[in-house]
Amino acid sequence: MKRKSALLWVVVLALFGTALYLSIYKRYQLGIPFFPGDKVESWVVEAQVRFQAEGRPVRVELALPDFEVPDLPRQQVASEGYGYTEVVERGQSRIGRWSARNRSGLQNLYYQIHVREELLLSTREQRGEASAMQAMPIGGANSVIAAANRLLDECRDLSSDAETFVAQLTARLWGEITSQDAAILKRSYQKRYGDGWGQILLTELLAAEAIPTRRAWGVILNDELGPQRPIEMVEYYDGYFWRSSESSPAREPGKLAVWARGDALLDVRGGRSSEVFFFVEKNVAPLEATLSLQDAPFWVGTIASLPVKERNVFRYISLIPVGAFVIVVLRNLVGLSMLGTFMPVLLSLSFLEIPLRPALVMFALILAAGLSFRFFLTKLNLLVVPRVAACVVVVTLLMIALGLISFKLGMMDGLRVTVFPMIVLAWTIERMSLLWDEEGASAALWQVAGSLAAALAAYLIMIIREVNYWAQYFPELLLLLLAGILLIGRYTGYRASELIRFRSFVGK
Amino acid sequence: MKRRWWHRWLVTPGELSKLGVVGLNARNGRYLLPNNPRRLYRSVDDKVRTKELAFEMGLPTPKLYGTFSSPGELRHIGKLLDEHESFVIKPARGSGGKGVLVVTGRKGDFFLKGSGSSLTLSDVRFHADNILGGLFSLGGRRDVAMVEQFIQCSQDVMGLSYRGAPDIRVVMLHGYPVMAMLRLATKESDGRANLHQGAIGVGIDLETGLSHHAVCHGRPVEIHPDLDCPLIGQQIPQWELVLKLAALCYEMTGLGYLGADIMIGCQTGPMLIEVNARPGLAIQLANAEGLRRRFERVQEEAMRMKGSASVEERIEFSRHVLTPFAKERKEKALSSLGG
Repeated sequence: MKRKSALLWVVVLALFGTALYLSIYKRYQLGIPFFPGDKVESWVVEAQVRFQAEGRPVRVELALPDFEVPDLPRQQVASEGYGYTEVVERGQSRIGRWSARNRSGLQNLYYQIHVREELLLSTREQRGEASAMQAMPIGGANSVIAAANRLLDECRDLSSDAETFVAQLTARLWGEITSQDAAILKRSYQKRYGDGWGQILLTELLAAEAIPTRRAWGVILNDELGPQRPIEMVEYYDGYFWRSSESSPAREPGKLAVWARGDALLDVRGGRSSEVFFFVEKNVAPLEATLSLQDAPFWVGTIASLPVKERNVFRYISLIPVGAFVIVVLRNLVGLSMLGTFMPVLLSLSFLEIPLRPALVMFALILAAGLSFRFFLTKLNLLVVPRVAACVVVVTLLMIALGLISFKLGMMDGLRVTVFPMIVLAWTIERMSLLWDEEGASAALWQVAGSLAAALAAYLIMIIREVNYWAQYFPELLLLLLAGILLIGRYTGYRASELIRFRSFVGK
Repeated sequence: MKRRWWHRWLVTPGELSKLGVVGLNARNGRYLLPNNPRRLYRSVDDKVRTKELAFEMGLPTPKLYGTFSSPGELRHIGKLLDEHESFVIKPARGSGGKGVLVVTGRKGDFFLKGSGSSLTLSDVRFHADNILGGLFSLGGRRDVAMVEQFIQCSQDVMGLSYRGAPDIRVVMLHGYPVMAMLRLATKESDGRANLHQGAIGVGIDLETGLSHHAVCHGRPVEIHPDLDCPLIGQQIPQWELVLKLAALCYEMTGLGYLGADIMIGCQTGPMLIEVNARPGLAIQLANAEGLRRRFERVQEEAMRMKGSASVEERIEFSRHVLTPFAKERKEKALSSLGG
């Protein structure tokens, strides 16, 4: 017993020491602040090019962002077995060129860049020059020409310069002002050009007004989106600046930055079905710190040095120990009874992905509906595994129904019902109904309430900004949690619930 | 201890510790984990195995009529049940009395439950099927259904229980009986002897086998709420045999910390129903006394004897050394018996 305690303390102290040493090293050697800054400092934007190589020499050209600063921001290229060069052509973006001989099968090329937010947003407006151009009238059917002319006249009448003209035009094409003419134009271009029609339409309309334009592609700065396709944009010249305008009907929320401009975003020779995706990720720490982390030896590694796509996953994973710790505290120190040991952690992870109130409502709805179905199943005298499987099917259908109904009602949150772990829900329903039968409704409801309370507690701790930041930049602090869990594992004192349970011992 | 205003809602940890109450963390960390090595659990978690062991040791347990381990075998359940007027079907790996079906008699083709309701053969088969599917076992694992002898309880204790068989739980440490309680069914507990379902826990004095305290839902009671019979001062019949049976469970399983569940049959006498490797803590409430001081005394004694004590010596120690802690309460129980 004594020896075991000594061993425990040695392990706990070792964990403590390692965690403190690593974080102090990071703080003072690498300059990563202990607390997150007030605003978003910088972004990591990653472009992923994917295509099927056909066994011939391959050449891939991807337009890359330019910044009007002397030194380029930090960039990284990951592509095994490809040569990489960069070329700059006049009037075009910088171009990254990958080349290789005789590739076949699915190819993935990555380009990553770390940029300060101000710098990224400054790309919306660029000082520059453009050669003067002649007005190019719109072609096509008579009705289209007439509609275009009416639209242009109306916008010209309500504007003073190129900038206000474009604002009027886009408000009619994709914005809040409804216009019969704009609708005719949109329908006809969509039919004629398919993908990319918005860019062509805006370009041609501006050409008719003799405003110089060029194509551009944007990225939405919102790290909750996951993989996103490039947003089509058009840049126009107002005499002093190149300004950018969106040229697509709807997009996800978030600030928009221009990634590149020129004739084409992606040009792949020797491959087919090529696509570009962007992944973006917020850096809450200063840019220099993030960069020095990437250069740091592997044993101080953080999630920050991973590819952006994987970082998003690991950000959630690194929060799971926090949830596990909360569960340990609630079970062994508080004595809360819950359904399933770590079910509340999974639940709290789903709460992280959707706003809390709709999440709670949806959880309650699914549970209630699933439970009533489960009571119906009892009458059919089914065996256990088929019964839980039937519950899984019903939960799936309920999720689809919930998604559809909330979409019809215009509540987009309902569409994200899929974040709930389905199998866990089905087992929760099964356990709850057993409890209901065995020990009555109140016991079952109390345990569900306990699980929900635990999930909420874990969630409220996980969303603290500092906790998120530490999990991302100081994952070694998880060793402190481990030490804490080990210590609680040897705690033999009373649980808070026992103080209530044994109250009748005193005073009779 | 003086009653304070906060005792309506809670006790402080310091007070609990002074009373010697053992909490769940302490039970697990101090008594369960060090004394019950994992490999020994098999002999008690599988009740068929427990029965075999008890048979080898010559301990009385209800007869095993048969076991069913696959749905195919259940086709023959009718034939087996025909041979017996009354029987009990239960899961081999169940816990907390879950999934126990007690059939006390027949009425034509129907089976009669203890509560008086009747079942058909297909109801019984469905119940057995649920057991096989793991409905009542931990983690939903596949299980074996056992059919065993129904024990008609001795009228001395049966008269205290509302439509359900009472059983005696004896908590043992290192083979020494530490504390005992009688569990009585109530209308609320629906024939089952589970304390958190509203059954009554009655504290039993180790020396005499007299009941001296009783609780329902954690609150002291003196009279059975459904039967109106007094709960204090009742004598458990054949108390020496009960203690001996419990003490032998230590030899049988090797578990340092265990709870023995014993029923008292009217013709058969005390019978071992099952052995629990993780007995709960409600026994403290039923006895209105913490377990810790008794545990400490037993640990000292076990250390002193170095495992050489015989069953009789251990029982002797428990009956005469442990119980004086509850002397005052015992006197109260004796006086209520006299009056």
